[in-house]
Amino acid sequence: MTPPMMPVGPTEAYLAAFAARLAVSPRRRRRVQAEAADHLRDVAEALAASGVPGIEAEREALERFGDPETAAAAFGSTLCGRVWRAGRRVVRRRPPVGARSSEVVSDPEPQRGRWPAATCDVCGAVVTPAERFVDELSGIGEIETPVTVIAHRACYEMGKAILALRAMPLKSTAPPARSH
Amino acid sequence: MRDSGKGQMDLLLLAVLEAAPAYGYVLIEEIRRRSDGLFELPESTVYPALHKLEGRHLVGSEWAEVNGRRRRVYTLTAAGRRALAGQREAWRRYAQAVSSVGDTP
Repeated sequence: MTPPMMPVGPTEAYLAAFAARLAVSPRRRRRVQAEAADHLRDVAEALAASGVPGIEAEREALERFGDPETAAAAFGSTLCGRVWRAGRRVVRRRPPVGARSSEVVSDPEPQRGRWPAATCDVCGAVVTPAERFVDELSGIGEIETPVTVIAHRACYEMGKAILALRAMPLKSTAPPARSH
Repeated sequence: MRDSGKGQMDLLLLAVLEAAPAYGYVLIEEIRRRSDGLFELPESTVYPALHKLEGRHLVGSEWAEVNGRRRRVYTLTAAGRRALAGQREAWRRYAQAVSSVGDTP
């Protein structure tokens, strides 16, 4: 027997959508999500204390924070540099990167509750329903046929970075030849 | 008139942290209070700004219990203090220059 579904409030739904769109490492995502949750609760409580009814206070707090996509995008740039460097190291050490890391795509949309359990197509770790997003990739690099992918958001960004790296020439790490 | 304060976000955050360590919500409220409500910082942009300042070692942060709740509390570092002094000076020069031009008929 499946347990009854817990009701999800607007703040929980918002935080899930926000977290799913964060292009940061899982550890950083947990921190950002916790800070956002604290903030939203503080704002809602302050509004409630000033006389705004509970649910309206919650909604106004969310409105002030902005739409989850825009709010999450503001954190994106911090990952890029690190992912880029990590991806570059991976490509240098082990070219070509396994095909699975490039089977990751754009416009992710979390589709929670559809799959009972899954592992990330990039890192192989378990993806919880809250962090999971599923997408279809085609027309990027050597991927011509659409491929369905399940991955963590951070892994997805890593996959994209690796894909981009594979498309660019790498600077040689070999020592320059000596002239005689 | 209200302003998003985004152009001077770093200066505002560092200046408030100079007085005491604080977490995000308190920083936003303090900036609003000190500016008499003029600076309404877009709330979701404050956290990425704090994280970037932390990445530049201008602020530090840690989880701490404040009023019975676990909070991410930010503190100004020595480098942050120096950066704040520089930004203040740059802002004074800028404000003075605007004033000199604007006040001259």
